[in-house]
Amino acid sequence: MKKKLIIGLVIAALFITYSARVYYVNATSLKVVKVEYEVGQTVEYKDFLYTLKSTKILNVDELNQEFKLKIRNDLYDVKYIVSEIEMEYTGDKDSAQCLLLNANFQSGAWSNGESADAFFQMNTNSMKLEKGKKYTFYTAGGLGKIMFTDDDWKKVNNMKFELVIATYPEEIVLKCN
Amino acid sequence: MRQLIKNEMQRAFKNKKFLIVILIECIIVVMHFRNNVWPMYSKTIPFFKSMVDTEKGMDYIPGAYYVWLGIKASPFRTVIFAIIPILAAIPYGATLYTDIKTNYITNIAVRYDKKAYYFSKLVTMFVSGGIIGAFPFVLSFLTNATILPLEKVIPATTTFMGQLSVFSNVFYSNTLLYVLFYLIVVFVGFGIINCFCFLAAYLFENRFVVMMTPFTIYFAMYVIGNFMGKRNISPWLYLRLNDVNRNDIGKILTQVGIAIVIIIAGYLIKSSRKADVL
Repeated sequence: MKKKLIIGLVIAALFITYSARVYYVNATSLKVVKVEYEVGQTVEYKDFLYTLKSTKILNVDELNQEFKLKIRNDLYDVKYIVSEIEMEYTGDKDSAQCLLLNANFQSGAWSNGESADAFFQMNTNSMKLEKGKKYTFYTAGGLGKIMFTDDDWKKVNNMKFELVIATYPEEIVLKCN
Repeated sequence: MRQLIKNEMQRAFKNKKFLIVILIECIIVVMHFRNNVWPMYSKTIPFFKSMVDTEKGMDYIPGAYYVWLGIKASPFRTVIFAIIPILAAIPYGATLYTDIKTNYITNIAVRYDKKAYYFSKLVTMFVSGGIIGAFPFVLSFLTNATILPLEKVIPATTTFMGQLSVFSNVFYSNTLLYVLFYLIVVFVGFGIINCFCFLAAYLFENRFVVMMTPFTIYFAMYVIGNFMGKRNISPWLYLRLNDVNRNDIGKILTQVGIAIVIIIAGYLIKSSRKADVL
């Protein structure tokens, strides 16, 4: 009886110590909070104002036709999510390099970076943004059929997408639709 | 029946072999901790944190999930998944075989219903296989959590799994729940695999062969799967939940179903009135 009591007390003490330690580690660490912005809302991040104006999902032919691009369509079934973003530099310098290519699209467990190929074909204006001037950029992310199940691929045009412009210490997302 | 199961559980868990198996698993988890978790905590994370306020910034600070043995691709994860079926069978897998060879089974058959005896054997094989299978992953998670926070995982920054992985939405929305699913899959998977010792006890005339049967099946399915270009549907890979493709779920469940049917059929045959024990 006494032996069982001692074992029980030791286990309880270990459990309390362990729980306190885990609580301390989590309480003292930075929590990443997700901050969402709706279509049309403006967010300031690292001296830039971002406003996501609109988003559409296009197949390669539609993308090539609408933006007069030459994206190849012979690898696998692919679509592109294309967002129109208004940017403005608000920092101390006269101008700064556009950082939009660091962003990622995501939806559920899917994510993909922007297509640099499509980005530079769609945006012929300068990548240097002058202070106080508004610029419109188009950014595209590839949606490959191989990244989805057949059922999800059928519903891909209706999925909710986000453009993630920062992930730490805050997750800043612009809702695409 | 309850007494039989209690006795068999004691045979499975109150023995030196079980402690040795747990010790081997502890050593692997400690090595994983020493090689992956501690350097992450003491060197990589402080460096990443120092980068947060710089112009380049930082996308992600790894935490307990990132270096968890179940997810982190490391040699220790490969080793543990390779040897679990062997470890799981060591403490209890061959006890039915030894019961037959030592005539212990005849003593039991006099006192108890043989159905109850075989059922208790099967349940204990399942539970001991499951516990030995899940233990290193539980231990790894608990040890990681003592020094690393349970971080928020974001699809845009992590490459653990994509849309095609099973429960990937749960992983990104409720990671702790995903860990629980992972542990349940590992427990059930290795529990079922360990139950093949039950059939092997009547098929083979060597204790070592009986103990090695779960591993042989486990490894053979991987080899055959590789030859057929379908290695994703071998338990060696699909018991790592984050590597399971949603398109393969039907085939995997069919395979698990067949395994359960074979084990239950073996149990029913041995428990039938026609089958002799004495």
